[in-house]
Amino acid sequence: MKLNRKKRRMPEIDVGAFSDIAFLLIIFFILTTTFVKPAGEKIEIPSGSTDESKKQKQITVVLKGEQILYGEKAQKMSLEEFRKIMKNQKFKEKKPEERMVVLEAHKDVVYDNYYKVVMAINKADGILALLEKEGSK
Amino acid sequence: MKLARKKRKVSILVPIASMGDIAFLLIIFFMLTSNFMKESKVELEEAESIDIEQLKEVSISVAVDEEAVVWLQGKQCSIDSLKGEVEILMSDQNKNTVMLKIDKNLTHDQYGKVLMELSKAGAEIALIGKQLKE
Repeated sequence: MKLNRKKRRMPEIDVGAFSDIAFLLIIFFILTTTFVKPAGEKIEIPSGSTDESKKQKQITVVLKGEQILYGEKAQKMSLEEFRKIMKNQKFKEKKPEERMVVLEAHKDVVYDNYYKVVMAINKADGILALLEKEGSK
Repeated sequence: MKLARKKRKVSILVPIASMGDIAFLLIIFFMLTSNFMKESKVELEEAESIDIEQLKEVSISVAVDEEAVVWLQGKQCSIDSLKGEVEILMSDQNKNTVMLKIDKNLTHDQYGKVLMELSKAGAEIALIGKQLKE
């Protein structure tokens, strides 16, 4: 007796929709991607020791806690006042040695305050000079 | 007299079989050429200022997180070896700009040394922060 055999079907995977899926993925990533664009400023910090004769032409700024002490007389001022003074210096018209702003910060100065002062100096085209205390490496 | 015209309809077939390959090739291309953020795992709060503008991405990055740990190119680095390692990277990449991110709550005794070491290495420092509106 002959038994009825079932016809074998070849398994087929439908790949027609693959390209649609891939393109949808591309479009999704293109639309949802946000590129990271860092905000900031490049600063010039000259390394080396300071010539004593040039020291007189330099502006000294001391940061103490949240206070900004400007110049030899250590005049207290707000950040807004400091920014105005920096702008009025017209550093662009000066020689590099006259553009130096020596910044000294006490150890308790928070970076957020330090950053604002550095950026104000930089925006006015001043050249930042960092003071390294004696004894520190 | 009516002339019998034979009109042949030409069916236009656009081959779309290779579209899937093109799409996957595009995906692979973007996956390989994308640059992921190196210090994405470093937790820090950026300092803020109104005097900053957008910068171009710089390839050498240094970050100092909220616990004053220094990260160079996304890897932890000691402050003593920072200068040497930055110098090597700068000569390898032929660039002297270093992107520096520091947590805004750190005090000067924690971040001052980092600035000094980078300045000694001869790097041009791009200080990264959050842009504040005037």
